Amino acid sequence: MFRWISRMPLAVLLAIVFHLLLALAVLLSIKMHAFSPATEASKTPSEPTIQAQSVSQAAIEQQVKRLKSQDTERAQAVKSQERAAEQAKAAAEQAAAARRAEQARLQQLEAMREIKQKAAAVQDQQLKALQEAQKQAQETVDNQKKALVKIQQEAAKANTEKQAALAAAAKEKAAADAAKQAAIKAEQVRKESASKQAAEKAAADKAAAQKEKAAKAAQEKAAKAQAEKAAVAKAQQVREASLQQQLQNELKQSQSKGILDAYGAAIKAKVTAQWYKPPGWQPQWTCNVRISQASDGTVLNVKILQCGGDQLFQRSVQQAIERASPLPLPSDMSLFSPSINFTFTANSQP
Amino acid sequence: MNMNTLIRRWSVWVLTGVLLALPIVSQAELNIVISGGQESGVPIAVVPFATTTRTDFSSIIRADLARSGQFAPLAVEQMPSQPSSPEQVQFDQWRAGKAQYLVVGKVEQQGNTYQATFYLLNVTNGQQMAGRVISAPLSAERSIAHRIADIIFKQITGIPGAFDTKIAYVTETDGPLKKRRYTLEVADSDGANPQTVLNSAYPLMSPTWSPDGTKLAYVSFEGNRSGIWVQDLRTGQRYQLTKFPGINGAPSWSPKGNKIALTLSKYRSPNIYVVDLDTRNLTQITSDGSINTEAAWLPDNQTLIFTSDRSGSPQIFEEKVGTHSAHRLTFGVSYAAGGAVSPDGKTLAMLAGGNGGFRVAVQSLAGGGSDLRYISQGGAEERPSFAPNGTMLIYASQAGGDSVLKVSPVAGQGSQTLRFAQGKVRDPAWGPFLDNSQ
Repeated sequence: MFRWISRMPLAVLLAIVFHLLLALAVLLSIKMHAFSPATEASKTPSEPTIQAQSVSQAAIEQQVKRLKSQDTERAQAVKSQERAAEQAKAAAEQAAAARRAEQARLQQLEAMREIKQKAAAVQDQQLKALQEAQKQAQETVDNQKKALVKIQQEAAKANTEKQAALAAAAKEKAAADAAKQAAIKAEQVRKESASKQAAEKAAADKAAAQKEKAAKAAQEKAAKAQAEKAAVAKAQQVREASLQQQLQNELKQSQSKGILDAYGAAIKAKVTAQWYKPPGWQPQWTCNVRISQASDGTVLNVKILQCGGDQLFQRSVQQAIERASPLPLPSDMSLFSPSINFTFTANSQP
Repeated sequence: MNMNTLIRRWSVWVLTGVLLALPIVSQAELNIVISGGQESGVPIAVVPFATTTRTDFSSIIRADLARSGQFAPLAVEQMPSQPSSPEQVQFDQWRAGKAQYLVVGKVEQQGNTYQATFYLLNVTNGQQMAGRVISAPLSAERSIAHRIADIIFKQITGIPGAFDTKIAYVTETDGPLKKRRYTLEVADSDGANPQTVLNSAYPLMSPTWSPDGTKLAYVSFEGNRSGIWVQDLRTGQRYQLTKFPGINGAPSWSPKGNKIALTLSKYRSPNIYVVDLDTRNLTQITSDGSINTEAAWLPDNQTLIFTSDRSGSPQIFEEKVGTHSAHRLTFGVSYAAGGAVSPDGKTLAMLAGGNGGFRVAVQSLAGGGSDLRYISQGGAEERPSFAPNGTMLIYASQAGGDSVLKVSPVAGQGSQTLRFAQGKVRDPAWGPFLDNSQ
C-alpha cells in the first residue's frame, strides 16, 4: 500500500481530494434538497385532501343531532357561504384576468420561477392555517362559519398584499402565479365549504342534544385557534417581508446584469471602432490589457499584461483604448467599473 | 425542531449570504473581448516642414512610410492645420481626425549644411516620442528625410527603418544589340539620386553588396565571357575575382564579408562554390549532375540556400558548408527559385512559379512551404532582395513592356513602383544599413 502511495503520490492525493469533494457535494445536495421549495410545494395538494375527508367523517357523527334545531342558523350559514363562494368566484375571475394580462411577460418567467416557488410555500402556510381552522369548524357550525369567513378574508388580504408587493417590485410577473394559487385555494375553500354544508346538515339532525356542550368546547377551541392563527399570520408576515426583499434583490440583480451587458457592449463597440490592426498580424496574436479609468470614463492607465505579436500590434491595441477614451459610462453608475480587462484577438473569428 | 423551522432558519442564512454577495458581484471587473478590428497601416500625419528650401521633406517621409506598407500617412489636405513645432499643436484638433501620430518640424540652411529639427508626437496622449536635430550636407538633403522616416519607423514599430539605405541595380539601354549600353547603378532606397557605378558595352548582372556597403560584386561579360568582379564604390577600383571556363555567375557576399558564394560550371553542370576573399581558396559545395545555382547566405555565415533541379523541377535547398548534405526547403510550389533569406534568418523569399506566372512569395525558412504567401501579383517578377530590416522586398517586374523595380512590404499587401529615367531596370540588390544612428 505504502509503495503504491509513494509510487503515485499525485494520484493518491487527487483521489483524496476527489473523495472530499464528493462528500462535500453529497452534504450540500442533502441540504439543498431539504431547503428545496419544490419539495414543499409538492406536499401542498395532498394534505388538504386528507383533511377534508377526515372533516366529513368526524363531523357527521357530532353534528347530525345538532342540525335539527339549527335550521335558521344553517340557512344563514348557507347564505353567507354562498356569498363567500361568489366572492371567491369573483376573485378567481379577477385573478384569471390578471393572469391573462400578464401572459405577455412570460419571457421573464425564468427569473420569476424562484419567486413562484416561494409563493407556493406561502400558500402552503396559508393552507395550513386553513386546515387548523377547519379542524375547529368540525366542532361547531358557528365557529366554522366564522373561521371560514376569517380565513377567506385572511387569504384575500394576503393575496392583495402579495399581489401589490409583486406588482410594485417586478411588474407583477409573480402576481399571476399568486393569483393562480389564490384561485386554486379559493376553489378548495369553496369545495370544502360545500362538503361541510352537507356534513353540517347531517350533523345538525343528529347532534342537537350535544349542541350546548359542543358550543362551549367550541368557544374554547375557537379562541385557541385564533391565537394559533395569529401566530401563523405573524410568521407569514415575516416571511412575506423577506420574500419581498429577496424579490427586489433578484430584480435588481437582473436589471444590473442588463445594464452591465449594455455597458460592456458600448465599450466594446467604441474600442473596436478605434482599433487599426496593422498589416502583418497573425491570427493567433492576442493581447491582454488591464486599464483603469476615472469616473468620467477617462482612461488613466493602460497596462499590457500579456501580448503576442510585434510592437506595432501592441501599439495598435494601446492606441485603440486610448483613442476610445473617455469610455462610455453605464446607465447606473453603481455598476461603473473603475478597471477593465480587455482581450484583443487579431482573428476576427472568435 | 420541525421541517418548517429548519427551512426558515436556513432561508435566513441563505438570504443573508445573497445580500452580502450582491455588492461583490456588482463590483466585479468587466472583461471585454475585442476581436478583429480593421486592418490598416498606422494612421500618421507628417505635416509639411517649415523650410526655405524647395525640397518637400515631409512628402519624402510620407512616401517612405507608405512604401513600408505598415503606415497610412494622411494626405496634406486631410490635416486640420500645419504646425511646425510641438507648441503650435492643438491636440484636440488632431484627435478628432484619424491620425494616431503626428510629425512636425522645420529645416534650416546653415552654411553648407541643412539642419532639420523634428518631433514625433503621440496624438492620443499628447506625448512627445522623439525630438531630434539632424544635419546633412546640402547635396544629401533627401537623406535627411529618409533618416527622419527611419527614426519614426523605429519609434513606432520597434524595428530599425531601412529608408536611408541604398539599392544597386542594372540598367540596359534600348537599341540594336551592338549599340546597347549596360550600367550598374546605386540609388537611394526610393530610387532617387541614381549614381552610375559602371558603364559597359557588355551585359552586367547580379550585383551583391559587401556587408559594410562599400563594395559591390557582380557578373560582367566583358571579353565576351562571364566573370565575377569586385568594385570599390568609393574609389571606383575594380578587380576580377573569377574567370573560370564556363559560367561564372550569381555571386552572394557572406554576412561577415569574408566569403563570396557563386556558381561555376567549368564546362560541366553548374555547381555552388565558395571563394574565401582573404586566401582566394575555392570550396566546392555541391557536386551532383543537376543544376545548382543562385546561392544565398543565412545570417550564420555558414549555411547556404540555393536553387537546384535535383528533384526534378527547380526547388530551393539548404546546405551547411562542409556537410555536403542538402535538404529541400520548398514544397509548396512546383517551381521555386531565386531564394533570398531575411536578415533574421527566419523568412525565405523566392520566385514562385505556377499557374500565375512567376511571382514573389515568402514562407518561413523551415516551414516547408505550408505558410507560403504571395507578395507580388504581376506574374513576370524576378529574384527578390530583402531590405536590411527584413520588412520590405525589392524585385524586378514588368510594367508597360519595360522591366521596372517594385517594392512590397513583406507583411502587407501591394507594391510601389520606383521611378527611373532609364528604360529597363533589373537585378536589384538592397544594400545594408548605412549607419547605426537610429
